[in-house]
Amino acid sequence: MKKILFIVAICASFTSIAQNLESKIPSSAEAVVSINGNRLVELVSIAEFDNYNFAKMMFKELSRKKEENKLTSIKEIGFDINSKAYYFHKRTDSINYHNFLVKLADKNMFESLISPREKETIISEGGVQIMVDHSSVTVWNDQMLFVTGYEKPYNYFKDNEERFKAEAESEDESYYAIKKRVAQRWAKAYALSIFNGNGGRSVLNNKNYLASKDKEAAASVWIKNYGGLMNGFMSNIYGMSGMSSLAGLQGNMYNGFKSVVANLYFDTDATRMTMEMEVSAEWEKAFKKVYNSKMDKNFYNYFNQNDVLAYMSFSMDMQALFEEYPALMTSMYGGLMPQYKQEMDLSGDFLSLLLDEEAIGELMTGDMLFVLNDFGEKEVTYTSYEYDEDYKRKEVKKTKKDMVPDFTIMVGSKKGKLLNKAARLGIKYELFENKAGYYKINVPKNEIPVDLYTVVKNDILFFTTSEEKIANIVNNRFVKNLGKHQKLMQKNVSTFYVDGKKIMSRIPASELSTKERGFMNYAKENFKDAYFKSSKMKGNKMRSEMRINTSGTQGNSLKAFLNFIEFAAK
Amino acid sequence: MHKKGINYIFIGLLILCTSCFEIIEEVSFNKDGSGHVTLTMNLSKSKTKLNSMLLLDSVNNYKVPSKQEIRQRIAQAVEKVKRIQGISNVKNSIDFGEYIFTVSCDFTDVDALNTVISNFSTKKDAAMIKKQKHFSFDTAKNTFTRNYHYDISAAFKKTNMEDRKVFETATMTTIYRFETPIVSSQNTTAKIAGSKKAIMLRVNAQDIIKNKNSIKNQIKLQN
Repeated sequence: MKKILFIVAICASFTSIAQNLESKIPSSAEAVVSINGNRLVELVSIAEFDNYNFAKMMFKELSRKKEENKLTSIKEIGFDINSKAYYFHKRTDSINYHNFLVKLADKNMFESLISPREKETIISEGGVQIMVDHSSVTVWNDQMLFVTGYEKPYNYFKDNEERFKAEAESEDESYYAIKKRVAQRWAKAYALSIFNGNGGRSVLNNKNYLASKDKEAAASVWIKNYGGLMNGFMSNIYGMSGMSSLAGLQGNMYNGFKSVVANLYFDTDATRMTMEMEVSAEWEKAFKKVYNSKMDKNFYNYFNQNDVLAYMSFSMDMQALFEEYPALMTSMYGGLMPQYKQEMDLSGDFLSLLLDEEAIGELMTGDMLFVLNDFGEKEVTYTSYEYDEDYKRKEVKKTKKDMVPDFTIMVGSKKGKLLNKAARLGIKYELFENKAGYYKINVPKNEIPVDLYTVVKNDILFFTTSEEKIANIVNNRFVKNLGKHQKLMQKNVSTFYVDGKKIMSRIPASELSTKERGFMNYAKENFKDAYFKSSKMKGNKMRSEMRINTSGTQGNSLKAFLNFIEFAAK
Repeated sequence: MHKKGINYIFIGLLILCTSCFEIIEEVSFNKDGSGHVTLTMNLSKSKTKLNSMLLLDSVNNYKVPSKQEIRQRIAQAVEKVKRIQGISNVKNSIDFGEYIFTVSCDFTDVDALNTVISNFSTKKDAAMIKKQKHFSFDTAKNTFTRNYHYDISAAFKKTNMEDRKVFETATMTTIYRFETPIVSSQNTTAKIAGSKKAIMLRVNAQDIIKNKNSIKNQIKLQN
């Protein structure tokens, strides 16, 4: 019984430490990145990791300063690999902090990595070890390590120069030395307050943060307010002092963006990254209008998955975009240059006066599909020289095969009549050639090495490099085959899909160097296809996902990636 | 942004094709050591790729110059060459259809050619050229020497893999013509014409990079 209690107590203490670590992150943190060590170790064991050559190289680098007991395992860094590690970013009116929080499994191991010279600077204070230098503060005890890197913004110290100069310890102390001393003092106080958990409210009180957490994720990113963060960076760049950006300038450029959550997953047969971005009520309204349309069903009639290496699809409401754009522009750029807000406002109004949004929306509906069908070979002539017996050269024309892409572009348009009129004018000026129901575009051969055909049919404007394809389209002979892609295109505002395996097998080996060939073969065996999709607005959130499908032969996708790095580093 | 994305996908894929070019250095010597030189850079074999590249902003992190910029640079270089003492009759041609570029000029003696190269080199290289001349004609011994001081192999090791690929299939050819017959040449790859008055040396860039061969040569003429 005692034993069980003991075990329970240990388990409880472990979880409480893990929670403690996270609870040290202040609610004022602008962004938090958490790395789920536990999940990573599940996917790739420590022994497996230690065996990788790149890991061995890392160990060598880390133990360069060590005389003996060189590192041989990631465990020997002293971190508790099985728990979560955190990075967070915090700004104050004067200093930007980049922070790392890690649970320690073995303090001595960690300390053994510190160089003797650095060791001399360690101070012990109230049971914790502290190391301070001009750009970072490191604090640790038996359980936990906290490192903060700090930046002292030039502007803040410039604005307050007089105040700080009054604090000079001696008459000889330069302003640079004062700045260094003051910043170091602040950073140390800050680091200790975070370490001891008296830095105020914890991020765990933030509902938005709590909701963003996902146990299955190998790593997660949470940004409290992307707009605020970006505006802060911008104000640093544009030379406003930190104070004014914290005080919140009205209508800043990125104000439409709110929180961002991203999660990274390593599944058995795929690596996924999901991203969710909250936008302001104003942007939500606009985006919902712009991204409301579904792709015109006609498009699906001209898609055959057996004939696709990669594609990109967009589906938005062009009319709505042009209607919403002036207002969005005013809110974005008016914020960037507040002194010109009125001008922006007026030019936005002017723009909507000049544009006939509806007519534009008919000319280009906002549905677009770009398909890379294949790679073809095309014979090209080039100039070379031959030499006679006296080595006098003669210009000769030779031919060679070049690899060129075969592609199809589809653009939604309800103005077929107008476009056909334009094409007829093009024929007059010999820009187009009239073929059997479609047009051949007379592209300058030197500029574009492919043939290009065009036609308008079923409210779609087509461009393609394949005459066979355009003939099939015109004569209703095109065979559609959508597979999983209909859903992908239908459900998303935009999709970017690449069939990596197929693309790689289509590139002739002669075009690649030996190393690249090896690379390709490896990738071909272990990776399948990949896509990036962004879906329609849900509530006030925009969601996007990137997914790379792996073959699954390596156990899980993290292993597939690590093995790939290992292979590439050879 | 989307439009740019498309360009990158479709045209960027073309860049996978390996590049190919040849450089030809042709010099005709008169008896007094003066002569005429033509430098040709022929990128015709890569024209598909170059046409695609010129549509992009940058390739491998290098900014792609516009045709206008290329013309300007060449014009500037030609102006610079024209001002060098001992150089006259400077001509150049630019063919963007076939991507062939040539520069030619007359020279009073080969040292003027060394000056041309020095003029386009860093101070350090220029000083090196003074010590180790790229072109020299020893009238007493009747010997012409083509040399250079660059350590191409070492310089090449500093470039990244992507850049190296460009040189995989490149060649460099030198053709020298004399009024007196050639007796011998040091570089065994060089071929002497039947008339004995011309010599051609063609070297793969790969061999130069790997230090297997070079365009260095010493040509002995009949006294």
